Amino acid sequence: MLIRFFSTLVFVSCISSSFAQPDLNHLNVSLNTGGKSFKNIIQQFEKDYGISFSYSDNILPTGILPQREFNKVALSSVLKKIFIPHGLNYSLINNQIVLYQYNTKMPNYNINGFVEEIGTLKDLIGATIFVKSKDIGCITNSYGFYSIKLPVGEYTIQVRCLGYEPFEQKIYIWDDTRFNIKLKAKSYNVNEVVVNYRDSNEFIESALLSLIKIDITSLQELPGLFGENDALRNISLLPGIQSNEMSTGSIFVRGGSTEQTIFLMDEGVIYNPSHFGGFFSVFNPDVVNNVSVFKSELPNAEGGALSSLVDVRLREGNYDNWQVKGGIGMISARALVEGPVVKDKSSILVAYRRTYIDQLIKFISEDEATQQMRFYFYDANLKFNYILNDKNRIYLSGYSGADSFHQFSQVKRKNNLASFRWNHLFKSNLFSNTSIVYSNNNVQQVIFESEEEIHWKSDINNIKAKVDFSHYLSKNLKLFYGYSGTIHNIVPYSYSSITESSVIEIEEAQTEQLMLNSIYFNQDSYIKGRVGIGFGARLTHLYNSPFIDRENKYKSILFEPNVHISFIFNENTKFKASYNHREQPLHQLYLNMIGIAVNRWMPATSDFNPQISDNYAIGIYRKESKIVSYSIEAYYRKMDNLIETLQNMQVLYSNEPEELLYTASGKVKGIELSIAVEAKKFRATASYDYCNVLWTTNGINNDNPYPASHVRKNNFNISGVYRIGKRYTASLAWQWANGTPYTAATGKYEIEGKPYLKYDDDKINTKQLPSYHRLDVSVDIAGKKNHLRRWKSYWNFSIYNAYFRKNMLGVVYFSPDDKSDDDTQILDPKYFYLYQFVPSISYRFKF
Amino acid sequence: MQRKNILIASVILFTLTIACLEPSEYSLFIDGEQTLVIEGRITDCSPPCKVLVTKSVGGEQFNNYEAVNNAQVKVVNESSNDEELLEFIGNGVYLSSTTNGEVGNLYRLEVDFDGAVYMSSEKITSKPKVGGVYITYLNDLQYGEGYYLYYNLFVNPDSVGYYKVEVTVNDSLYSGYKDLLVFEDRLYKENQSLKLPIAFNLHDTLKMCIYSLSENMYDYYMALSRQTTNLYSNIQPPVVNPSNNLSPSVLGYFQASSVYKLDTVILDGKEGK
Repeated sequence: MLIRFFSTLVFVSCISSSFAQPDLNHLNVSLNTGGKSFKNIIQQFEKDYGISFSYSDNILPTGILPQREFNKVALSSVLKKIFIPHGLNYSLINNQIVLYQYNTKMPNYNINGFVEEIGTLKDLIGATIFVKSKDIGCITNSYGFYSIKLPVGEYTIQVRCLGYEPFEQKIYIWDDTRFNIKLKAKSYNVNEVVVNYRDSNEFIESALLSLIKIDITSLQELPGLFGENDALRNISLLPGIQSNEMSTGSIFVRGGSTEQTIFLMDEGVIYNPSHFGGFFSVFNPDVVNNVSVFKSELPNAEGGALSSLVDVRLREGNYDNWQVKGGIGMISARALVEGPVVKDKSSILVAYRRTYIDQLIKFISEDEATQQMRFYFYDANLKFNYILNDKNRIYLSGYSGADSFHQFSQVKRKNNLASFRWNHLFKSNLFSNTSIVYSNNNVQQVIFESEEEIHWKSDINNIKAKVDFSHYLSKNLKLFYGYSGTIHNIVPYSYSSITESSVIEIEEAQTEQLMLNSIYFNQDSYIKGRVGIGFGARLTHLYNSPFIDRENKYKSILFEPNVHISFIFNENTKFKASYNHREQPLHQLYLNMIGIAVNRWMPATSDFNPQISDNYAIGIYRKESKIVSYSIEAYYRKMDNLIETLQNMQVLYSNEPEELLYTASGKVKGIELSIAVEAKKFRATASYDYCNVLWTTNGINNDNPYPASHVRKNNFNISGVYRIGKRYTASLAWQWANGTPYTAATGKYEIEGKPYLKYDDDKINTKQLPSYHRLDVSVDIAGKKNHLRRWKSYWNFSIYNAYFRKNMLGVVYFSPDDKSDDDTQILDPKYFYLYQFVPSISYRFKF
Repeated sequence: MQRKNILIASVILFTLTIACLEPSEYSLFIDGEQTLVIEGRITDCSPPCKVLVTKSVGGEQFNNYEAVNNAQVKVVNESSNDEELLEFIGNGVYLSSTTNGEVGNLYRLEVDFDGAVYMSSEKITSKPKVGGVYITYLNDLQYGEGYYLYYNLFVNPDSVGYYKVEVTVNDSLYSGYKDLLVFEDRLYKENQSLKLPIAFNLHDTLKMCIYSLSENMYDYYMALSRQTTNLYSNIQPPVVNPSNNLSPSVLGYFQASSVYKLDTVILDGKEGK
């Protein structure tokens, strides 16, 4: 460097000069760099301020500088800002400003900002930002934030996000730069649910194995049940995810049972994510911003689940203008109001959804018993956020929802959630989020006696404090780390008797408590040549009952590492292999009663340790042409400390549930294939997955492996959407799957004159229900004058189970005797099925 | 009235869920071997001890059981070591003519069949204590309009009592699956008023027997009753036969109970006995 400097001096000394000595610190200059080359700028200084420059032409960077305004700024400051980022330094020698190269290595600068929707400023989560010539990029975090480190120069930034028009812009980087990117929502909704087929030109990090992001807006045009376009109902179209038709909240991911999935709403745990015993989820589709489904490879920031994480982020409200949205389906209606509190700085959103079937019943029937029937659910959301300044944002979020069935007795279930989040940008490459979240779920059953009410209650809540940091250290080093502390409080059940004059606590099961303190980190993807590697870990201290008096307190350390390796064969073909170890400290003991799902949670104990799983997966992703891409993934999972129980165990009402439980282990082998076709007006996906799950339970099936009760071995799904003209969109979804296994009776016998069933101990789940298949179709019609007026309306006509298939969901051995008038049951084996044919109409609007 | 309410509730619920039951074209059973079934009961009332020995049959067979008529059945009072061979009556029924169960005594049942001896021991628990009984006319939304019987059960706060109720109306056993009236008094007050969930008609003659149960027998009956209410077999955990107190493992049970009995007639207005 010194040699270069002195050679420049020698060169300079040969140039004569007639310019005056400038005072670099006190001479204020004005300059607009837009559209000028370095030479132009030097010439302008020489002309406007009489300053002499000495330099060699070949050290000046080529190209045109972007717009940057300096208004009466000290010359020294301007020179630093213009030349230093480009590897040039200056010295004042003999009244001349001598430019010389001071370093061959150019400094790097951060370009960062938020990716948002035009108008509403909705944060776009999971958008990919790709720097074209550098082959690097990143994905926006849960708040739409990104940061990329780049050397000085001009780059083309490409941004893609599901449901939005691609964005591309050239930008000149010569300083840390805030670059907020605004994307335009696609003018037509292509109803693709499966989106994980990213453009093959994107960087390797986008091939995130086992992450699926769902375009929630497009779900509104997919066939829905009862006209409700539920955020989770079509989730089972995705390979590796199976759902129980009866319950949207019961999903089985890669062979895991329903308790192995965690549902988050704005970072708060939703313990029971469904309404009406599972027909609908608690996520009002109008309020949902983004749904990410993680299969096996869960983010380290969230622990507690073995199989999957469904991370639902709600809309923050429109920063730009006030908007009203709503809709009415066959059984419920909903409305949403959102708008700016302070334009471009703060917004608020209020939404409410409720079923109205109980109100209809009042009008339909005059019968006293029917009049007393109350059967409804509701969801209420409140969101508020404020952009304090460029570096600070705060978010407040509240949710309350409940189900109620009331006639001869009452069953009521509530979910409540409140969260406060604070985004802070420490530096241009260090983003943090601090969250404090409270969530609660309680179930209450009331039995009405002549003079008293017997109340049964069960309650679980948790308080979570979490600090996350996204640290973009270099183009290859992106660290994500943080701390999370959670405490779960569980009252398994309590009984009380309430009369006109007294409230008597009859019994309360011992309160249970679980405290989890975790630290975690994750390195997204370190890329060297064609190979990328990502790794991370979560370390948790588990403490059962830290603040309550209990005999068997339990402590443990949970260590959950994960690693994945990617390899790019060519620009169209990528490979990835991953391993992770997960632990789940909260067990869910579930029991489905008719219509209402009732669950019970139990913290890990010394007898029932945290459930663990080791997950191995490999996958190949290939883009065959501009419109066709496919992926193949294979996985193997080994699970231990699983909880199994038997149908005749009353775990819900027991003060010592451990006595009714068995520990089990499980092995899962699976393959998932997906093909996606995407054209301008047509988009379709086909997927197949094979999933073989065998559980081994000490004390059941003579200790031999048996098929898990919840898994269908072979699954095939097709979904497609076709846009017909500007107003019409047609869509269909077809699913085929093996029937679920069940334990068939091997005979019958009589007790007290009535027949009962005989089962053989070694024939658990050896019989299978008939195959399941179903076609759903829908047509979505936009209002004729939508483009002319503010009020925009849409009609949706859909048919669930279009060809009247009676899909068997279970076996009912005992059923009511049709010939009897006293509700007698008889042994009469039958299949049980739902939704033989459900046509529905719904209307939605916004203005 | 009761049927109407249930019908309306069902229609609404089913409209919502569009749920249906469908007879199966194929057998929903699988083959299994025949298993011995022992139903034994000893009480402190007459008849003192009755044992029914049968075998299970295939799921598709017309009959529900096959009687075992060549077993040897014996009851042993383990407190006094007295034993009695039960007399074979016919169709799998074996009856004691002399043994009277006594509260607090431990009894052992032995069934010798086909080269194996199946045994079970049970102790007769305390006699159910019932205070007042009254009958009142009600229009109950759930069980319909009619006369309802209430009885006050004395509950021991220091221990949990388990009970089974059998009701005979006009000499006919009220015997639907839903009437397997088994309960525990864990959550009851000391003098709990309980209602029989049956609407009686005027001039009905009714007999009510309340059997005390051991915890094992209570668990057995609860497990048995859950068989009849199992709707979602595919999403529930595996199912096995109810655990019982017989060894080696066969189907059935041996129940030892003390009994409270009530005979009454439904008369006009409030009646008590």
